[in-house]
Amino acid sequence: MTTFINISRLLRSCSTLRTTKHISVRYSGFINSPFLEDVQIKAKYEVTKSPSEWKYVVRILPPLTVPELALRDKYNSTFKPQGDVKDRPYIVCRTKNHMIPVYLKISQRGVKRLTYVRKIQGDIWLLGKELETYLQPMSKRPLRMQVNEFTGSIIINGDYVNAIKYWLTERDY
Amino acid sequence: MYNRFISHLRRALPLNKYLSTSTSETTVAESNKNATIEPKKFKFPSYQKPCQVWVENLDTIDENKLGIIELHPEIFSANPRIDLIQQNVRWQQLYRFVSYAHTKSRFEVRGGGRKPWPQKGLGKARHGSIRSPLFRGGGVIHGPKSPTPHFYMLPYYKRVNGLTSALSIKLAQDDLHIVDDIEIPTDDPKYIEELIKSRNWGPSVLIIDEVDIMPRNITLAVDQIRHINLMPAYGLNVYSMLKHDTLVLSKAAVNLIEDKLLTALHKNNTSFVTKPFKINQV
Amino acid sequence: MHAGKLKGEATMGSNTADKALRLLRYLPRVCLANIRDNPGAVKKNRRGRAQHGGDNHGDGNKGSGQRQNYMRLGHHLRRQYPPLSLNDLQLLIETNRINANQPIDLVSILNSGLYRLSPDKHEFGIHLTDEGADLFKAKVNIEVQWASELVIAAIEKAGGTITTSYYDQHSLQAMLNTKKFFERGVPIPRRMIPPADAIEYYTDPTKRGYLSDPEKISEERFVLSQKYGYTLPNIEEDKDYEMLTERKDPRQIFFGLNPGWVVNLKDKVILKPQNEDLKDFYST
Repeated sequence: MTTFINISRLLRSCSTLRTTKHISVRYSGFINSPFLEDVQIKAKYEVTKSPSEWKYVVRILPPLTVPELALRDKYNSTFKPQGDVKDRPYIVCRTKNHMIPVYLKISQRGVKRLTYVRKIQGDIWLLGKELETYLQPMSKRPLRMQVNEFTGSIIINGDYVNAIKYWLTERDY
Repeated sequence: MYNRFISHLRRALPLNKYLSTSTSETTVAESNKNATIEPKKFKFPSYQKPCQVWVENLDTIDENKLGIIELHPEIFSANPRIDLIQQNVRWQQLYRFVSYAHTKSRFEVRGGGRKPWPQKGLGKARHGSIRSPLFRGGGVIHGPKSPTPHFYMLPYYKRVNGLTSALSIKLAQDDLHIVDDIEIPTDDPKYIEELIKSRNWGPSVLIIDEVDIMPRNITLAVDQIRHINLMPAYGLNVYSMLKHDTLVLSKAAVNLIEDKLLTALHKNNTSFVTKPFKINQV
Repeated sequence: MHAGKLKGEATMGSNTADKALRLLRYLPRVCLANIRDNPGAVKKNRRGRAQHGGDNHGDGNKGSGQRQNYMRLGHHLRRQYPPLSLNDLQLLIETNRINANQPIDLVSILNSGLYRLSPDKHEFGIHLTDEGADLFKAKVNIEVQWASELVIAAIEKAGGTITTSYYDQHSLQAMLNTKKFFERGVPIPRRMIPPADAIEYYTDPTKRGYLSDPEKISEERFVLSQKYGYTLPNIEEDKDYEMLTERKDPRQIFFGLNPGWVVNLKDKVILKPQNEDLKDFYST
């Protein structure tokens, strides 16, 4: 038994010898690849730690999260920050990009147009009713609207994005 | 059955620990005179009221309420999307699963090279091989081949919202407890078992701390108890939260989890995390 | 389930998430055994086996299409400049996504996360378009890759300055995500000169090209103000004169950082090459 083991071990060692000699190693996996050692850099270089140069590095690093809104006196673009709407029966929250969450979804090659109002908190049914009375005069047919309480969103058949955005900004949302 | 009913009743009653938006602060002060609310200034404020949760202790078997911590409602009072939780659990089970089921095709089954009988003249159906799929002992068409990896990546925000949903559900169902730290006075397993029993936790408990080097006593105490597990905050996942009945978070872990998830929800540039995952990317 | 208002609740009706969570307090513990996906959420892709099961999905058989006689006119090889309007730019500035107190270039616009660029799809930078030119009020020092005369006039009328400049694909790749680029630990590449068909544009002072003579640019600024009929704000007397006149070297990609430098974000140091040949290679 012992001799058998010895022989098999010997054979194994021989075979490994042979393989290492003839087969080039391909580091295909993480486990069998060697550790990265310090690379010898021949080029001469200077290490600087000057704050006047580092400020340019800081300037071009992207921020991790959306920057906070700095309130201005006057806005020249269409943007208007959300006012104080804390005590309203419903709130249409702004997105993380400080925009009004009203979107247009076009499907069926431009035939079907749905307006989505999202991120609604509070009495969503009241908002649904108010939007209906506001939007109904713009449409010849009865307005088709879906209020989804769980997701806090309202879907309206037709393109009313700009109308709803205007209506919401008028009310400081 | 009775126990189950009791446990439901327990949840239905306005317990002092879970203070939803409805509970006013006066009741807090009445129930515990020492309670101090730590007001928190959140980086990303929300219109929802912050969740107020008791901070407990682990250094005595009897529960001591040390104060109240305020948690961000976007993380701990988020919409409980059970569908997202299910998708997260399915993903966690599948991404590491490799199917070793294997069948042989007609060319891999041994034999079958010779035409079994002549094409014509016997009155029998024509056949070219006895390993044809029509034959008993023949090959299998489109059978499973080993190994079949089932790896896929769940979209980034499904993963993030799965975590917020699971945390919110745990808090709403009184299964989330916050402790000041996870130091216990002894490394005796009986102590932690007694503590969990007396506080009506568990039986299975997941204890989460900020870093992966845990205090000595609790590590030794729960080492042999298989239903009480320790986990660093970076290992927090939906499957483990659902696998364990109770989730115990240290204060440091809560702050870290809240910070990480808020950063994920308010990322400046989402294009790097929402683009399709490539298996071969480095 | 108690759906009405609870005592002490805010005047704002209860949030739907709170409602759902309150409902969950009366339900059994959510665990691995009682979760499921929404019904109908997973759609299986099945091969049809009915009337039209195996056919060509209504597209007919092989015929003349893209493959045979559709002329591809080489539009896919031309340089593309995805648009950004003056409206968008003003919105980015007013929502604090871009800091207008510093020079604005492709890097700062890409860092806002709201403008996408794919250099591998032959997109070479920003085409600043004139939508919102009448309402543009921000005083900026901006560097874009393509701009029309009206856009240049709108920016200069508001007291700002504009440059058009060219970046090659390697430089653009470094600018896409600066953090990721610095973490790679490779030297900042030097910016290549524009290709032959773009040289004319970027040496033209009327286009405010970055290779044109600054003297001629100031001349053209005046000419443009005469053409569009506005009084040109005198930037020499502006308190932001330094900022408004900050320009990159034609070989430079990032403001203040030279090509050949390696930025180490971990130790917060900059490595600069000292070899003569390297210095020579990276010099202007």
